[in-house]
Order: sequence, then C-alpha cells, then structure tokens
Amino acid sequence: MRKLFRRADIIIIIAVLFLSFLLFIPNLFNNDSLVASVYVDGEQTEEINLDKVEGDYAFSPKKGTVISVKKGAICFSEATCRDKICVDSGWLTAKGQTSACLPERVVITINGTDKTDMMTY
Amino acid sequence: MERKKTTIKKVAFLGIMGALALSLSFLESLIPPLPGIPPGAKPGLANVVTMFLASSAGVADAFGITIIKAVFAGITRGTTAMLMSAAGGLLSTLAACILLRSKKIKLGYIGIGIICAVCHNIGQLTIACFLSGTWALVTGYGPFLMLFAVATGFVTGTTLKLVLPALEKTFNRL
Repeated sequence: MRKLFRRADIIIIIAVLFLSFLLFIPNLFNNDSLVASVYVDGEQTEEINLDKVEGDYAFSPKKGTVISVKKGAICFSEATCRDKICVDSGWLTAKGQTSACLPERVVITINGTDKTDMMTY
Repeated sequence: MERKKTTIKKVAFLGIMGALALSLSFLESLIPPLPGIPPGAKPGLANVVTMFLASSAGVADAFGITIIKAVFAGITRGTTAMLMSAAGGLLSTLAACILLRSKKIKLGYIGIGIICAVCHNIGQLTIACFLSGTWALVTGYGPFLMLFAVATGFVTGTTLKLVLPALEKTFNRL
C-alpha cells in the first residue's frame, strides 16, 4: 500500500500553489478603477465603472436574472436556478472577483478597463 | 456457479458504492456558502469513492459510478449541473485511474488527492467557460479553485488512506 504522504507530494503542492498564483497575475495588472463587466451569452453587454456609481440601482440583463449595483460593488440579487450559486457569491467589491450564473449564461467579473490581459490568458 | 455468485456480490457492492457517492455529494450540497471559500466549491468527498474504485475495483467501475453521479446531478439539479459533474468527474477519475494504478508513480495519497481535485476543478472550469462563453472565469475563479483544491485533495487523500484497508478487505472477500 502507498504511503499517505511522500516527498514528491510537496512538489505537487508547490506546483498547484504556483499555478494558482499564475492564474491570479492578470488580476494584478489592471487599472486602478473598479470596472465590472457583465457578459450575457459570452458577449459583453455592460461595462460599469463601480467607482462612479451614484445611487443604488438594479437591472435585468436577462429574464429572471437581476443584478444590483451600488458604489464600489455589484452582485446578482435574483436568479431563476435552484443552486443560487451566483446570488450566494454576494457583493463583488475587489478586482479579480467573478460571479457566474451558468444556467442563464450571465457572468459578472471585476477587472480594470484593459481587457487584453484577460484575453491572452 | 461460484463465478456467478461473485458477480452478483460485486454488483451489489458497486450499488452501495454508487449510493454512497450520491449521498456524499448530496450532503456536501447542504453546506451553506462560507466566507473565504469560493461559492459552489465542495470538499469532494464523493471523489473518495471513485478513487477507491479506481485503485481497487477497476477502471470501468470507477467511470461507471462517475457517470451515474453525473446523471443523478442532471435529474435532480438540471443540465448545467450534469455537465459540470461529468466534466469534473471524468477528468478526475481519469487522473485517479492513471495515478493509483501505476506502480511507477511515487506519490502519496495526499499528492494524488490534490491532483484529482485539481483535475476536477479544471474540468468544471472549462465547461463553465464554455457554458458562459467567457474565459474571464479562468482568472476570476481559477486561482481560488486551485488553492481550494490543495485543501480538498488533502482531505480526500487522507480519508482514502484511512478507509482503504477496510473497503479493500470487504471488496476482496466478494
């Protein structure tokens, strides 16, 4: 029988942590302003500068899905599916945060205005 | 005659394993969203079942249970859940089959558990990107899923090591 832990496992752990860091790098190279992008069916439909939002509002990018916006934050507030993973994600307030409603194919992600970083990775 | 008896016992045992995998994944779905943990991320205890089957029973058995799990997810939670379950499950089962059955690979259960968890997340992330049509998820969710995979792989690997002797004893008696 195998051992629970071997020296090679440490390499695996370090490799995975490195991969995690590597995937996070694009999030570091974004502009200073918080810009949320909303994608519906893979197409970007909205780009909201969260720093410049005045007054709270909500909009529906697709039937049954409601997105709420306030200064510095954005979230899914209503969804049609059972899992409610997107709603449970709560407010997105920092760069690199993403929330997705897969059944409705709606994605919110916060990044800078520069989209090229995201596309190359 | 003897041979037939063994087969029936094995089928019954695999049925129990399938039920175990389904109930474990159901139990995990009851965990409420916690701060600091990526939403929708789960410990993946059902992976322990497929990892055991991959190491002790057979490749076909492990993939069979994985497919049943995906179909169950489809019936109870819809097509999206089925595709996510299938993508993650098949990739991690493939990894488990290769790593656990190879005599050359010098990895412990924790290392194998982590690789399986990473494969599971990569499979799900790929499908999620296809479903949503945007690759923004890779950098949005990816880093957190990878970090989480280290923790879940640690848990599933340790659990597998603990339960393997008992399960193997039962399985070999069939």
